[in-house]
Amino acid sequence: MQAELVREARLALWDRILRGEEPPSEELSYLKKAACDLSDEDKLSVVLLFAAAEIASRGGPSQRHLIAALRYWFSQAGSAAAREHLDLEEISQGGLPECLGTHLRWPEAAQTIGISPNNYMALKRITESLRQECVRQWEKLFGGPVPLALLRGEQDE
Amino acid sequence: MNKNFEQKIAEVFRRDTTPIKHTSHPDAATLLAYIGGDMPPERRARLAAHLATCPSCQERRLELTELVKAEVAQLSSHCQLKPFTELAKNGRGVIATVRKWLPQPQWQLRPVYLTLVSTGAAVGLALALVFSLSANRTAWHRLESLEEKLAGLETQITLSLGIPSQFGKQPPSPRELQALLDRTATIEDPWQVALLVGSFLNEHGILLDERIDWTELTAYTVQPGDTWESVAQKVLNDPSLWPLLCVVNAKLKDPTEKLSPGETILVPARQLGSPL
Repeated sequence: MQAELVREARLALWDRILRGEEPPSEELSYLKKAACDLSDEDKLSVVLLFAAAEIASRGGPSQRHLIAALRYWFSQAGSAAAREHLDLEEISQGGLPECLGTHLRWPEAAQTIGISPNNYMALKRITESLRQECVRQWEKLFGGPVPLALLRGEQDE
Repeated sequence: MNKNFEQKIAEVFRRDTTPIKHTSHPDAATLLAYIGGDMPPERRARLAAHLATCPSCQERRLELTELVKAEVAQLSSHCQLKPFTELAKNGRGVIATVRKWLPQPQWQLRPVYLTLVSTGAAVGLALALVFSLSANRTAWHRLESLEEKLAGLETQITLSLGIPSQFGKQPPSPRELQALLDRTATIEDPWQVALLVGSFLNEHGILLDERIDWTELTAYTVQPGDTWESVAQKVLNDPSLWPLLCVVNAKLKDPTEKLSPGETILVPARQLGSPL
């Protein structure tokens, strides 16, 4: 039950980040306290959220590239029925529900935030920033070593 | 490359958005408020979390969004303004129809003539305005120069005759004159009388000629037609000095009475530097 509440809180915060809004500090504090009792998988979700919140707080291109990447990744989740009603304008002004299930391609996701559709390097750079920030946030939140599941990203192809 | 990390993120997001069996759901009004953006950020974020894990509500949101879009499109098409060219075309049509209803004039004023006439009238008006302004300015200049000339003449007269301007001064009233006579009745010395009267006249803008000698008086026989003013003109060269003669003769004759021919009055014997 606690895990479900924390998940709902996480999703609400993802919605705020996707809209370019600053996540409320009290919500982050609640999440930080509640995360200690969660499984490693849920802890990873929390760490990912904190890492994204940290990058978003920098503003500028980093925040825009992050939002594009989050829209791209979130759009791969959810029912594919939403793809039939794809409206990039609606996604650019919306939050989590608007991009779920739309299965965006990277150029489309980039277009929603006003960056060049061909800028694939932006996706790679923001992914790497996010990974590094996840490592830092894990150590900051939980103190211990980063689980192997998180380190899988370092095994470059 | 971070392919594996990206896959991990996608996996985390898929897991986080896994549907949950919710016990309560938002009603249509709440969903419409969400679609319309008419919702506080905190409530909107909680509803977004619900929608992310509730496929049925997400489906309803999609349906409502499509309905709202269709409604907005329909309203926009109804409210859209017609292009100006079309409006202008319609306007010309209406004007042409109204012209048909009106009685036809005997002669048609062609637009070319109308333009020429209106242009000519405008030019004429402009020229008239310019000329009238010019004439008005000339008149003002002439008036100003006349005023300057008049002021110059006045100054010249004042300087040459030693008589200052009387413009703007009020003549003595009979009551003031009577008061002056009462005061001079007690003074025996004609010179002092003359000084007193001179200062009195000066207060009323009438100055005594400095060349007149008031220390010696002589008899003057009134001629037919003589008045106080005409005698003052004859002996003092200034009719406005007649009150002075009245004062000098106050003990001989009542100044309110007219002069009678053959009567004798006192007048200054001579002017300094030139005998009377």
